[in-house]
Amino acid sequence: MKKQQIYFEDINIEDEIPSMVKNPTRAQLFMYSAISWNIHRIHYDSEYAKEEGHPTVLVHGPLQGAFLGQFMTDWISPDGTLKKIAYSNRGRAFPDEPYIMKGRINGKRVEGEEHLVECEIWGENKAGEKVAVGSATVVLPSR
Amino acid sequence: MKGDSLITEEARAMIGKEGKPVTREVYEKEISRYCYAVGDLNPVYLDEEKAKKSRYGGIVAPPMFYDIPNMQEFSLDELKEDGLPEAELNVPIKAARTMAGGKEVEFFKPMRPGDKITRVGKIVDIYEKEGRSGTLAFTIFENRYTNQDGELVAVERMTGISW
Repeated sequence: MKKQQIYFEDINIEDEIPSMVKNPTRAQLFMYSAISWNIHRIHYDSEYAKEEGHPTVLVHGPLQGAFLGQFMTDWISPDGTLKKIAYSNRGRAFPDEPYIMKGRINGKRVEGEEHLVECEIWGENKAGEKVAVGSATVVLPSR
Repeated sequence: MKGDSLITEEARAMIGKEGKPVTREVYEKEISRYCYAVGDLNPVYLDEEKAKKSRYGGIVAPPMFYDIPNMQEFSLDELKEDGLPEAELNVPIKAARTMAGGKEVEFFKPMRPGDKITRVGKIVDIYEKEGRSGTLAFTIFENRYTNQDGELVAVERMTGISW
């Protein structure tokens, strides 16, 4: 099925971005530790994570960043481009729980040939806490 | 500003100085394994035939892959109890703790298999603010990623908060 392209003209300030849910598992955390050469034990060794005061292993901050990146690129694909993303990790997200991404349009403008949209984005854990907060700038095609 | 500054003269002298450039190659297999690890199976990252027909004209890496090829390997004896290597932060700030305070990445060109990506890091700024429980020092790190043609691919800025 071909994905429907979203255009600059379709976007209004205050619009909500369709949310995206990831369900990270322990296996996924292990795969991300391996590919990003992140050897921090709090991501794969739950006994050790408890020693650091966590109930179990934690979803990596940069994996949440990768989720947020995909949240944007899936929304704007195939012809939109992610130009900028910013995020900071504010809380803990755990495997075997949903990780829910949401966003809102903050602004739109045309700079030269580029049709730019500014978004506020965040990721929530199962408890509904905003565990990653950030922003993104995307370039969208124009009709 | 009350109290002593956390920022030493030595730290101040590091502002603006670039680190040693590191160049690593982008491998198609690494892109593919990254995509499976993060769960992003967009064919422009994984399927040469489909990627050829896309506006990219071939396989590209997802934007958030930008720092993966340059991740530094460590030997087992460099790792501390927590699995992290020693001395991640070489900024001589007079503080007991440092935590990550956020990241901002700007993308200029997609990375492609076969690209040779050079990363150059520097400290852009170090400044202090009075927090509720004392002085906080903010260190802004920047990594610039360029490809084999000298084109800027991505710029990342990270904030370290020390107290």
